[in-house]
Amino acid sequence: MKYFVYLFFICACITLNVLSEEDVLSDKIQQLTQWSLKKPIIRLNNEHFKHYVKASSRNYSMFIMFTALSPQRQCSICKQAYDEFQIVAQSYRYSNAFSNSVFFGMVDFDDGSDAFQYLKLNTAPVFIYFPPKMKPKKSDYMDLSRSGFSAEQIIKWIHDRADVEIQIYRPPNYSGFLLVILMITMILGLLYVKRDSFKFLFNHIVWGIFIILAILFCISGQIWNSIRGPPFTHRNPQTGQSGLFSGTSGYQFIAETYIVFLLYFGVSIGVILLNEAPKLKSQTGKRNSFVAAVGIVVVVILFSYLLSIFRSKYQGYPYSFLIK
Amino acid sequence: MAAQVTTNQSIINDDSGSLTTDSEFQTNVNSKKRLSSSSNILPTSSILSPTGLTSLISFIVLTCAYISGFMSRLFSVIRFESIIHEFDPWFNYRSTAYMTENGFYNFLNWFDELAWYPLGRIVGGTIYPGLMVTSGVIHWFLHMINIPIHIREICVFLAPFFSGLTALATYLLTKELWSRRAGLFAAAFIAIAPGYSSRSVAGSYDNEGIAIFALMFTYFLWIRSVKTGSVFWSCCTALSYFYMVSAWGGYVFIINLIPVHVFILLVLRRYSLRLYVSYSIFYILGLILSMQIPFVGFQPVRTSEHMLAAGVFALLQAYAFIDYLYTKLPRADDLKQLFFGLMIFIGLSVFAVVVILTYAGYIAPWSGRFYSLWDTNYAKIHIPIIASVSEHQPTTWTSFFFDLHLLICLFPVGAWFCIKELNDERVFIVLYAVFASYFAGVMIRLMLTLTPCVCVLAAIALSKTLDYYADTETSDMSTSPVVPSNDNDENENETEKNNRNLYDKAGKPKPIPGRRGPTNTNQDTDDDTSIVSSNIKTVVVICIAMMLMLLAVHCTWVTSNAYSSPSIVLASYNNDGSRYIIDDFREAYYWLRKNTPERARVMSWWDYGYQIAGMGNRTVLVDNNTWNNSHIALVGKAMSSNESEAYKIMTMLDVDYVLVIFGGMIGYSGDDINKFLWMVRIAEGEHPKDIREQDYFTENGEFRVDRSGSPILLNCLMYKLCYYRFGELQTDFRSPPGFDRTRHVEIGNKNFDLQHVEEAYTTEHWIVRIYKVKKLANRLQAKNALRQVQRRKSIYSTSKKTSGQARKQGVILNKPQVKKGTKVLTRKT
Repeated sequence: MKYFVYLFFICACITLNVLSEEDVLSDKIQQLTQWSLKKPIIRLNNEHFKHYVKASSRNYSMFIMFTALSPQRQCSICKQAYDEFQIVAQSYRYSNAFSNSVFFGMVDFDDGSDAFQYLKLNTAPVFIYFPPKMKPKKSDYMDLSRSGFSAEQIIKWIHDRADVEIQIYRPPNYSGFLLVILMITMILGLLYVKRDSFKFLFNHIVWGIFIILAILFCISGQIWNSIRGPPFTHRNPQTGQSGLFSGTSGYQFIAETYIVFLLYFGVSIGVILLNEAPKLKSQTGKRNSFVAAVGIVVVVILFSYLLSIFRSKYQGYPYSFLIK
Repeated sequence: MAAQVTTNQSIINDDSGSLTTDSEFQTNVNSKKRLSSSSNILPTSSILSPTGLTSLISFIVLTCAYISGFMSRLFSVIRFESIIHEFDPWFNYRSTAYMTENGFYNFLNWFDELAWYPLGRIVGGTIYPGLMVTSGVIHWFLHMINIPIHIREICVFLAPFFSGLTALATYLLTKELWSRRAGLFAAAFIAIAPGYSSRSVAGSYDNEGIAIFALMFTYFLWIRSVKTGSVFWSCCTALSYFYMVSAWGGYVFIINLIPVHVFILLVLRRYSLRLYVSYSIFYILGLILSMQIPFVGFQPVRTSEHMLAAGVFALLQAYAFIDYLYTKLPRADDLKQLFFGLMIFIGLSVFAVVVILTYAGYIAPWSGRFYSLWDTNYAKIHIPIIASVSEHQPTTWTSFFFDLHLLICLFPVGAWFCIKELNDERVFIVLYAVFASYFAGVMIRLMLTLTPCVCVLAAIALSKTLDYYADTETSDMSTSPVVPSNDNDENENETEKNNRNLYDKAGKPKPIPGRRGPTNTNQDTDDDTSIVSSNIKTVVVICIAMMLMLLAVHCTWVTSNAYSSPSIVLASYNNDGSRYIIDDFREAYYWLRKNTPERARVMSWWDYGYQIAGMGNRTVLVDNNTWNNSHIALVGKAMSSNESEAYKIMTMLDVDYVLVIFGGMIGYSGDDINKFLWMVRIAEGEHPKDIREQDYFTENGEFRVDRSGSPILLNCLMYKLCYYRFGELQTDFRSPPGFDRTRHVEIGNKNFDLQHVEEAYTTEHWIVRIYKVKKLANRLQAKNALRQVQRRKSIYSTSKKTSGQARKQGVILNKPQVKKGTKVLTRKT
């Protein structure tokens, strides 16, 4: 009999305990769902973090961004990362996959420095996945240095970790659209004001310059720049010297392409000068001769400079002209 | 060496030719101005009329351009042998050989079972047959006149042959656009420009080789038909366009550029009946003809790439109608604004119709390959297989300069001159310049379409400059009778000097200053009209001549050093300059051909598919026609998973042999380990659960094969196949055993055994390694013998009573057999 009582007591204790735990859990989930319905990213402070994330009794998983958004922290990429993360969370919030087992949270350093200490973080932003019932492992940290923090990458990571498929929805960027509209109205307005004389539209010089700049833009490798996004110049970490040109032919810096752009432009101007020289009106032929001489000097010098840059970039190239 | 000498010779001829042409043409010009002086200028030309001489000289120059274009592409044939290069040409060669053996119709219906096992490939419907048909026709013709030449020789020399023709087509185009002198320059430029010779050296038997000729010829005919408005020329344009469609997928460039030209002409109010006739006829005929190619089929009416042409066609009809009304209606001038509004309305509605049809699904949207030209990041995200090919990368400025040298500097100037003196046909070349330079910037491969345009515009710029500066007549007329004799001497001296110094093309106009400098000095002091003094002129001409000389040298150097490697046969040079040939690829493929069963299936990365099929004559799983991404991803997955996982895939795909390319032994950098990350990426795209790119990097995100490399990498199939028994090999006495000379590390995983594959063949320098996939292994005997007994009983004791055999079979325990037994059993009961 005595044992029965004991047994009963123990059983009751266990059930109660379980019950209470379940109660707590459902409370938590309810609370979290409520929050995330209000705002897709739940802002967590120290207590919240301890209560909702650190506590081992969880049956939901969380994606948490650790960041430092306040302006005095001067973390510029935190803001960008926050924007991207917000896009992800927003897309999740309004997608079909939305459920009460995955939540998105965020801990700001100024609200939750304990959380940072607990995870031994000393950088921001960091994305960590908290799987249900477990502490995050090494693989649950998102590798920002390799993948970056664009929303697409974050989604890929989330899919990897928690098997949640999120269709990304970026709010359309109206500023570009407005800019285009503004431009068009300005152009139309200009045309309307100048409606009596459309001559400037048929001016070959204007169009010529425009087209030549477009061609130079392409052939000086600006498209490569926009695709690959190289740094402006090269800075040697040891000596601190900055070099304008990269040493290999397969790579280039932005500054370098600008120089090449100008060199091509200069050569073009030189040839045009050569051709304009005989047409100038002057008493003696001196002015014409001078212009022609300037033209050819410009062409030759700039071309040989270009060749020498090329030579320095392309190992084993044997030829040079005037300038080594 | 022989080639070089011949090349020089031909180019030298070229010089003297064009030199005389220049002065000759000026003679013409001047003779128009001052009839009296013309007889003074050229006393020696009394035998021939000036026009006759001009055409003779043009003929000589063009012949020389043709020959130099042909000769400068023969480096690889002379250094190695007459061999087909690289990857795609092997397929083209194989299908050409098939066509000459089996006839054209069998070729069109050819189902190639050697490729894409087990799917196969319908070749006739998935290629542009123009290349094969062209060489087939040449082969047929030569055999008809009893020249028994092997089809391979034709395939090898087809591209140089056609690049000569390209020079002629470029001459014709430039002549239509500017002048005959500019045309001669352009022909000489295109003949040697590396941007074009990169794809047309002897042995690179690919579509581009003939397509650039077709492109330039189509453009020439188009300009001609716009100029004349004749039905004949526009029919010719359509026919040439048909040839282009049959030859290369780049025909899309023509069918978009010509409509853009028409559209811009309409916007510029340069509409004329000539334009109407030429475009309408070209579009209709070209549309019908292009649909005859099986691979193209109904694309011209069903895809967005071709909708620009259709839209402009509709617009042009509307414009012509309104224009007609305008001329017929009385007081039409009052309704000018109405007509204008109507036109804009029609234009917008045509656009809207195309957009609506696209959304409704009648017109396919832009294909990924085409779309990636506009949205440059598209391919990187969505189609890794396109992004993985090195020729689809964007172009650095160095590549532009490397391929075009001086021409790229003169290119914008030519465009400027064309814009300044605009007419209908120059609008075209300007548009061509803008679009082609954009595309060439996005994709290094499209440098090929830019090169002809650059040659044309640079030639225009140069010839316009030299028209004035190489002109003697404006300053000295009295001394001119002396000139010809002088000229000849100088010319010969120059030629000799050229021969000594091996200076190609030694200054086209260089001899001119030579003879003019001394004769002019006494003249230019009393020269008071507004012209440049002749000293300056001389300097200008000399400078330009030197730069041209440099161009010729540069072009020859680039073609010889960068673009003439067959990439099947490799050459290395010892310290004493002697050459050492590495012929591992052919060795391995020949081994495959001779030592494996005829139906053996070889798994390799897709780069080598065409070569294995072409040289080894064995079935491959994937090849360079990358039409089935998931199949490639499966091979990638097999390569990047561990051995037992890979074995599952390989048995599923019926693989008999696996072939890998390994360069670590001799330091060949284009091997499979260096391509390996792309295999992983492509596999990850299709099987993200099993393959993760991240797993193949070290903690620091590096891709390393040494001891610190990621364990998954060190145990994947590709690693094992490449480095099997490599750890026992000491390549150099200074380095430890197993030292990879490509990546300069000692490999991390050395002494391992292969479980499911066995080494079949490794070539002399270990570049190609072939492994045989073992048949399904016998099951390992289970540790508890009890279970075996039970199973044996349960299966065999009821159905068969022969215990001796049953025991044997029970030991083997082949799983499929066991299942079959149970099935039979259940069916019986």
